[in-house]
Amino acid sequence: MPQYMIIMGLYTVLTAYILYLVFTIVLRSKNVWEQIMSIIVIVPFAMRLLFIK
Amino acid sequence: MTNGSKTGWTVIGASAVISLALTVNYAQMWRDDIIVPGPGVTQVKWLSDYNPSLKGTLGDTRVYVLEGKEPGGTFLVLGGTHCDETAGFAAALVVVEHATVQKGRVIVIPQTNNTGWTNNYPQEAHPQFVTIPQKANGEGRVFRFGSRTGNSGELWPDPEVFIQFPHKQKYSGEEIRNPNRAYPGRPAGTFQENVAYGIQLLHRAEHVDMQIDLHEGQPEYPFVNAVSSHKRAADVGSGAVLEMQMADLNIGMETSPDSFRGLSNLEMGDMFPHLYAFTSETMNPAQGKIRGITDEYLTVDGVDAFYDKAAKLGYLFAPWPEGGSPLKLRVGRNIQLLQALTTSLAESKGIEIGWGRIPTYRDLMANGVGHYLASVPEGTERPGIRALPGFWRYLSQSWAR
Repeated sequence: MPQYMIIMGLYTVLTAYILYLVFTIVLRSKNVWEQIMSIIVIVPFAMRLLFIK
Repeated sequence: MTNGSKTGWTVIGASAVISLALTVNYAQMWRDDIIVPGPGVTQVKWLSDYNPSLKGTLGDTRVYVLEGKEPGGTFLVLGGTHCDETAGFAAALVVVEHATVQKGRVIVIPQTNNTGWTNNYPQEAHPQFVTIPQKANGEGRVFRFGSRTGNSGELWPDPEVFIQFPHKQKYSGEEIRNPNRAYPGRPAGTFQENVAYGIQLLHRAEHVDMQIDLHEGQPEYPFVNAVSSHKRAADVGSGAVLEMQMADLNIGMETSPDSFRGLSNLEMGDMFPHLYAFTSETMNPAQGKIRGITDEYLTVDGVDAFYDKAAKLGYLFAPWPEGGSPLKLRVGRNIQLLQALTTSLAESKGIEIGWGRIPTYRDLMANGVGHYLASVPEGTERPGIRALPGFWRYLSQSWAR
């Protein structure tokens, strides 16, 4: 199923890029609450990266 | 390292641990349930024995044959077509693990829509697992609580409109994953059409005389506590309704409309002129839209204050029992219906299928469902993951090649 693999591959790259952006912001941030709240963004995207295909 | 980046790394680490734990938890749904073949089971097969293209996919499922000593007719029981309709699966399980057959054959597929057991229906807050109690302290057998449709990972993407084969009836896109719109099936069709084609090949190989597909519906749905027959099987169905009344159970009966294509009873009945095909529905509050707290107790105990109120206000189509609609009641109705259908088939068509040991509705109401399930031998582990869903399967198979 090449179409499926190509699109899911692109989704995976996009998810990885979003996670990279969030990580960058989290590491630069000086606001502890902003950093802690990022968990609710990271977890769904990380799970998408791990197994939701 | 600044304080900010220390907190940042801690947050990222915590997120990774949470994600991993949730992933491991979710992946438990990819493992098959333990089913213990009872004394009546003479053969355990796979659907891929009939349709080899299902081998190695999550569409493959176990087929249990209960053959009597005397020759007779063949009865196919389909459970778990919609995997959030627990009573259909549980009734098929009671037959596999407890029942025996004297005359003819009963073929049971408890998890017809196998891929549907690997995920939940989105946004329903359904539990992942359900415990059917066997002991007074609530301990019992644990089974998955799956989805109405198949896992979207197996047949992504859903189209905007699903066009049913071969009648070209249009359904909403997600119905492409609904096994009960995929009949009669075809080999080069969608994933579910291939599974349905496996059932069609089973029919051809085993010469099935009668088939029932055990479903459940939401209590506010007009067609619950009812059986739907192929129009050719209306006389057998009507006889079964009378048999049910003999057991003090009221059940509605209608013939499946020709304009509602893709259903197991309609399509298989049309395809096989000797087959008497049925679909049944019991009343499951865990599926209803006005239900309250949704947990594993709702589908097992069937107690819901909102449905009590809806029943008092006259909003439900079938009588809502005092104390709710527990699993034992719904499984009891299904098991009694199986016996009513075999009796009616013998009386009206002369095709005999004789049960040996099988509980009645009253037995199930007195003892509960767990009483009729086998005890899992100590040390028995749940089977591992035999096929990953969609993307991961394609990827692992590509690596294997």
